[in-house]
Amino acid sequence: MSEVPQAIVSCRNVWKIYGPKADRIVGTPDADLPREELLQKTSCVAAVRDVSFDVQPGEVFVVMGLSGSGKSTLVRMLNRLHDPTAGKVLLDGDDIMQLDDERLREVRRRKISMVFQHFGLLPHRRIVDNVAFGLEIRGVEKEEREAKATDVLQVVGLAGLGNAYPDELSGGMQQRVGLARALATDPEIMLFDEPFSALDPLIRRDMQDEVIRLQRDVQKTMIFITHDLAEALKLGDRIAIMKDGRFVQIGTPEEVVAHPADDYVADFTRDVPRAHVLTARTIMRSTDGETDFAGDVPADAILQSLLPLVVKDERPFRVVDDGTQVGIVDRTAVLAAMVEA
Amino acid sequence: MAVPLREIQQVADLTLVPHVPVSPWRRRAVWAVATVVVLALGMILFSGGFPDSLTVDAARPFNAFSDWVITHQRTTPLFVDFLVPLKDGINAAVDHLVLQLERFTWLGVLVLAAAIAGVLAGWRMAVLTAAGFLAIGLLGLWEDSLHTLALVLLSVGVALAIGLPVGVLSARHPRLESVLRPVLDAMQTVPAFAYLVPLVLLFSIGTTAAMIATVIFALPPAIRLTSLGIRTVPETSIEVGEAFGSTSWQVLRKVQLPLAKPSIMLGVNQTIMMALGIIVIAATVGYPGLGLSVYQALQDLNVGAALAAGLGIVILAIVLDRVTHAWSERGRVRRGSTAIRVFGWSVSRRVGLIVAVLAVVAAIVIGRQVLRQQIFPTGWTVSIAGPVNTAVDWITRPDEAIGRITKHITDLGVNYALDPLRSLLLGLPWWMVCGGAAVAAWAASRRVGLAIASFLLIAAIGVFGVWDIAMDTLSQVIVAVILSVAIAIPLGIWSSQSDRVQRVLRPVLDVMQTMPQFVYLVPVIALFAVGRVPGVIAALVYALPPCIRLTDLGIRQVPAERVEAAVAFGATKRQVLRKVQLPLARPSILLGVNQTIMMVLSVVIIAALIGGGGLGLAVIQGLNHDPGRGMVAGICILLLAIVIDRITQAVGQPTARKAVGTEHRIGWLFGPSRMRGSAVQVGVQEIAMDPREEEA
Ligand SMILES: Nc1ncnc2c1ncn2[C@@H]1O[C@H](COP(=O)(O)OP(=O)(O)O)[C@@H](O)[C@H]1O
Ligand SMILES: [Mg+2]
Repeated sequence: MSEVPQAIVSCRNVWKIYGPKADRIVGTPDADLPREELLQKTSCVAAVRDVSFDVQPGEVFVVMGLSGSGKSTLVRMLNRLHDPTAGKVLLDGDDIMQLDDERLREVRRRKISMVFQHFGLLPHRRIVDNVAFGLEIRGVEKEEREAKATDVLQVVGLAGLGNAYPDELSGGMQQRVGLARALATDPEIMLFDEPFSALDPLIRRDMQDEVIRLQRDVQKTMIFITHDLAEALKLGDRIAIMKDGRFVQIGTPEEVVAHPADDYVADFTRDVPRAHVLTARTIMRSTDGETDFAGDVPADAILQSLLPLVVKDERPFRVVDDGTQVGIVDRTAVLAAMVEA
Repeated sequence: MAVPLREIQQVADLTLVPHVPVSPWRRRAVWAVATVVVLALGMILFSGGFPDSLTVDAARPFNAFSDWVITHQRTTPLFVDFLVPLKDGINAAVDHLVLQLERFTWLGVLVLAAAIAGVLAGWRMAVLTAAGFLAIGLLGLWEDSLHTLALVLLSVGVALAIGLPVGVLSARHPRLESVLRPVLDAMQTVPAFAYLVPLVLLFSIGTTAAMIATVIFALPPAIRLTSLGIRTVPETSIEVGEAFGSTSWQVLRKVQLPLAKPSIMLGVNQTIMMALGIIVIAATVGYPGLGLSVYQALQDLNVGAALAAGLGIVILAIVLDRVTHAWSERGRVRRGSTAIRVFGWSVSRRVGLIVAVLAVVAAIVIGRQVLRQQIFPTGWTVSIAGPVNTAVDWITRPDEAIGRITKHITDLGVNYALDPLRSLLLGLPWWMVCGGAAVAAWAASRRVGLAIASFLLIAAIGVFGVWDIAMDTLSQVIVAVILSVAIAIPLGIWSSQSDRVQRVLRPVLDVMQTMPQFVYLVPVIALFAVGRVPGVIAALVYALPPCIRLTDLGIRQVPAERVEAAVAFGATKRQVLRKVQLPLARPSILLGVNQTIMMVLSVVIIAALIGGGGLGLAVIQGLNHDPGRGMVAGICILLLAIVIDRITQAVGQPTARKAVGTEHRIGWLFGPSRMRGSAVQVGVQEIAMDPREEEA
């Protein structure tokens, strides 16, 4: 067996139930009741139910779900802003429920930081002071933290705005500050709770590109919450689809689009421009003895790029990964994959 | 899908029961006739008033206690070790402060006040403060003002020293908050008069009783607005603090307190204004100063002197209010920048501070060494009392126009409103009056508990033997409330429909709300002499601003889409008002009415100072020579206030208990105090607060 690298964040059967006597519900049949019935019967809301996943270092893990599906609650259990009702949250293999207050604060100060949906900037502080907030809490001297904050502002493209106040900035710029604040403590893990939902589409796209660029440059582990499938597909190495507190599917963007786990996911992915997501690898099949190939295509080529090729030539193409042939695709396979919903 | 049972039932009702349209007016008419019949029967069949056989001598134990205090205060440890040293300490502190201010000389005090105002709130406020103090000096009120200022400053200091930490604690510990809430409720509902008597019982007449009363009166806004400010810090901001690893102390210092600052500053402002507002009441227990001058002048019917001292209080109030207000505004705008602007120059704060300190030192040195005047020189003062009295005498001569008009109004008020109503209340058997309270409580809240409590508490007033004077007070309250609301709501509606009207009204209301309640007593005795009518008029005028403001605000806060929706369906302005704005503004307007009632009650009580009689008079007599009766009257004021307040609070939201809870809190937040525009905003913000918070 090959060595499995240790997950940097993992959840093991995590539950979060709000309401009276919430801890008595997990493990009883009530836990599986639909939302309304559970509320009627116990006046509890099960926000997160039995969620398990592992995130590898450097991975961007996206959790996608509609409003109220429990995403914010889930992400807040990763830094223990909320305590899980049941289950375990492990950071580098350590159970965070075992941390005392002091050690938990250390984790929050150094290891894990967060970007908030409505930015969460403190209106009474200048931009630099907002960015330096985490360092200030950690006890870093004023000069040092302001220098660091100024650097980070540069990174997110806000150089020179340090003396402004949050309400003088546009929404997109405010969220850049939020991003800078989360980067300034140089954490290993960054949590994003729907950071771009409140922004206009164009600005949102800029910000997504910014995150992709950052991820390339600084290689953080990111756990990213969104209700926007396009955003999930664009950013995520892997995506978890959440519904009513449960993960209904975890997989790469392609897997989710190509093989939705159920109707719910299929419904979501129906309108996805499949040509931009699916790759040759997903739709290829193994050879049944053909020898006449039109050419080679890389395994991670998206359908969009295959289209012109298969239109011109009816013969199959070899799908090649690292120089070896892993399968074949042809016109029928490409077209079928694009129309299939 | 299953159809809910209730809807099936409704459909069944619709089909089975023939629909008989009942016009609301007809229904109201039926109710009115029924009420009149019941009242008439009650008056005819039963004897009115409260039977002596049911009363107890409630005054006796208090008098006994008073005697006990007098005989034991030199021996009992509670007094020897605690109350007496406390009293001596407070006396010494106040005396010392007055002495110190005198030593600074008038010039020193004037410059010191201006310098503080300047450093805190900018040079304009320094000029305003200097002008205010100069005016006080010129009016010959310097010495009185020093006493008043000393009491206000010390009381506010104590109130803030207690109120801010308690407010922070109560925001962070919901359990403490739920314990404190009823205590603060009581402190704010009860007119200050009611708790003077017990203080006098313990400390006798003098500075200590005055100062403790002032602290009690001024404390609630400090606690409440601090707590409110901290509780309304957005959840996300706190999460931000926690997510970056803050300790709870760091969250408090770096997130909650800075974000709560506007609310806390408003609390400071309110605390100061409350303290200033009570000083005439402090005068009734013998504390010298502007309050005592007003009090004595009112007793002597010396309108001129009362007006002069009243003017001094108004000047102090305006200065303190504007300065603290500008201070909090600046805190919001300035944010960390360290420059002060003077006549367009930008001066660094440190330089400003140094200049201020130098100016103060120079002024004190000049005052002591050159002018050698501790008190504002009498040669420079102008007395306005004489001319004012002459003018008032002339105006109110019964054969002149104004005198005739005011005489006429007085007669109308007494003959057609106050007397008939009092006769009605006294003519009805007591249980019908109590029953009326119970019915009102039930109609307002649908809670049997409140109805029973209302019945019993009102009956207790009778049992304590002050039924007649309580009904006298009640009749004045009812008349003043009806008139006040009848003026305020239309004005509020008008102001909501026209920005111009609002612009004109706003500064007027601001000034009205800055003036302490008893100041309203002065002009009314000038016009209406003494009696119940001037008290009622003072009360109704004093109570106008919050109701006008809340009506206006409630209507203006109706979301624009709702109004647009109505307009889109072709509604006229009138229809929009009647069918959309007024119904949606109802909670706000009812809150205004509640405020009106509580404010009217507090003024009607102190109107005893100008011949209003009733429970207030019993308190004043109690303070002077009959503590037992004063105490009983105080308790009955409290009972009346609680019943009236609970009932009117409940009217807002009859069924949804959660909503009652919230609104309730806002009502209490400002209690019978004055309410500023921004305070209203804070309150209404709380109406809109997340219901989740309410459950916690
Ligand atoms: N503090 C709370 N108390 C009770 N219920 C809550 C609380 N926070 C969230 N919920 C409920 O939990 C569910 C999930 O909420 P949330 O995690 O905020 O969802 P999302 O972020 O996906 O929109 C929702 O139904 C919400 O009403
Ligand atoms: Mg959310």
